[in-house]
Amino acid sequence: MRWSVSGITISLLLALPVPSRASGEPAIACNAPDEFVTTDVPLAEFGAAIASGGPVNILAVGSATTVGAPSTKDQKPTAIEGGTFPVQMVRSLNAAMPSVRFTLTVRGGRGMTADAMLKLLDETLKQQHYPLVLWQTGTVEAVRGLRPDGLLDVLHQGADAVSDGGGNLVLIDPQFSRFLRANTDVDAYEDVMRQAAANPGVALFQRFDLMRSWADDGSVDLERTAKEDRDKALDRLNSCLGQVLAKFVLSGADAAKK
Amino acid sequence: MTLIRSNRSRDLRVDFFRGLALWWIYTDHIPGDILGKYSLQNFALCDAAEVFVLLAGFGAGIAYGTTMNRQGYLYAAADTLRRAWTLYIAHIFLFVVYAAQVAYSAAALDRMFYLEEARLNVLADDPFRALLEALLLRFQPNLLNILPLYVTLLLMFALALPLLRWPKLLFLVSGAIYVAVRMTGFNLPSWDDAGGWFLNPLAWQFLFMIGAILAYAPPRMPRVRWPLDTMAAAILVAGVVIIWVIDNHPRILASMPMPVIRFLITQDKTGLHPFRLISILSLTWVVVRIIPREASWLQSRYSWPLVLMGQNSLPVFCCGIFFGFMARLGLETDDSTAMQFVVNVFGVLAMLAVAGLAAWYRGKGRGSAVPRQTVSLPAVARTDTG
Repeated sequence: MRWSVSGITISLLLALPVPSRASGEPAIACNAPDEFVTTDVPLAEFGAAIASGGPVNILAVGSATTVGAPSTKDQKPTAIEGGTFPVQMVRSLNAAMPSVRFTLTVRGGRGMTADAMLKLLDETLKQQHYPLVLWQTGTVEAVRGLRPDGLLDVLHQGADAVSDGGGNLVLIDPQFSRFLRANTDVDAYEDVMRQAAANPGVALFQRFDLMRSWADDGSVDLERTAKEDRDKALDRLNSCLGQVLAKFVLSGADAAKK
Repeated sequence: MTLIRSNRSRDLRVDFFRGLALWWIYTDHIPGDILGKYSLQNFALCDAAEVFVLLAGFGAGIAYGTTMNRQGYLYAAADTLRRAWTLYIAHIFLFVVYAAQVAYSAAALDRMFYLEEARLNVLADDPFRALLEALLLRFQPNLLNILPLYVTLLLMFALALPLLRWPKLLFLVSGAIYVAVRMTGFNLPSWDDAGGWFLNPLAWQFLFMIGAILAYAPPRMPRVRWPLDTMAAAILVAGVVIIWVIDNHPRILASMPMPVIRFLITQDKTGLHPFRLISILSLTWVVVRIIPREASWLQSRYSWPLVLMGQNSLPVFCCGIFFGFMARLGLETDDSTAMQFVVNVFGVLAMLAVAGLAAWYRGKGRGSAVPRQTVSLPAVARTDTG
């Protein structure tokens, strides 16, 4: 229970426009197999919000990797210099469509279960309309061996809540890690995430498989990075995830036009 | 001396498929193992766990049913409890191994903070309580949930043994408990807020009892078999469609009403979802229909490795989980094709070695026990029940 309590206290509310990268700063090139970059799920609400010229309010709910909580006690929160992947995604969206303003609200906390996040999601959706909601979850369930069918149930409820609030939902699965794969039954939770994406207007961003492809080709691999270079690698990871995720949600908005 | 036990009353099909399930359980317990993509769960709505529990029930029905016929209920129940105790000790041993493995891999990856994330951090936070909860089976780490299920199933079976003589009544009582559990969601408690046991014994007992009934009081084969053949085949084909098409492309359901979609994609393992139950029963029917009991290939040298493993399933199962831990560490260090090859070949050879040793030991022990039989307890036909 320690986690959920501290999780809520770390909950962040960043309803601020995300600044774009300083001009002249070189963008990191991130290669990703096409299957991870595009979706054929029509994200109609998100597309409509873009078409109306914005502002497009995006809500990101998640655990440590979404809120950017430090992973060790001695690590400073600023270790993630360029921002977490949702921040990086919004930066990429703003760069891709300068005429539309995208804003980001982040809720959640380290070690938070999907069930705890569902309550946050419900509360937050009551306060404001979000045409796009990112929900990163599943890791805490896998690590703690919580029941996968319970997770599916919670994800269905979340899908309903987002849809009732007039938004589209992009689910984001656990991040790839050899440790997670070796010590948890992560496949069972991956299955559940895939199943939850059967809900209309819900897309699954396959972070686990995408990160594994990066680990395989050696481009970003946190667990094989020397300690002193880890902050830099983490920054690169967030930047790449953000870029790919931006393309992913825009492809969903395009799919809605067809 | 031959290691394979075979006589007219022994159904080698049971041994063969039990061995196959043990091998699948090994690969399924190594996340990232390439062979895990070819195990039963990729072709049917059930997986190796269902095969294992059904055949464990079958083995228990033969072994303890025979014991009960010869020595009476109390002796058979005590024998069942002795087996449950062995499994319990094995589980606690594997729990300790698991804790050590997680600590080792966190250190090897220079990621000690992982320990805080893994559920095992409770061992550091509150070690006395965590040990107590593990002993009470209320704390079951990832991938260590089959043995607690098995222990509990044997405890229930010890109580249900007398009902074996009234198989229809046992079937009805067991089925009624299953239905009640499905409707209420009742589950054994777990520590923390994990929402009950990962595999709910009160639901899974139905499959175990069905196995025991099939062994102890085999029902007559129906005279007209094509309706069952058709139904079983249709169920298996539907399972393949759900797994290959719907699970991978859930969007094709988009035009259907939401309750239908959710109905089709939900097959919870915790409560042995009815889809999973009818899937394993259909599979059993099809196997029984396609493979005759006296099929010659079952006795061939190609199938003896699996038969040997199936005949010594308790040590093979426990050691298989232990070898799986090593394989996980192997794949964590290096997930190249070469390492995949190494962990899989190692796993099969190691499990075969355990099976061979167990069979040899048992055969040897039986041989030397013969002259002393007059002074020892009456000989009991010991079929493997693990």
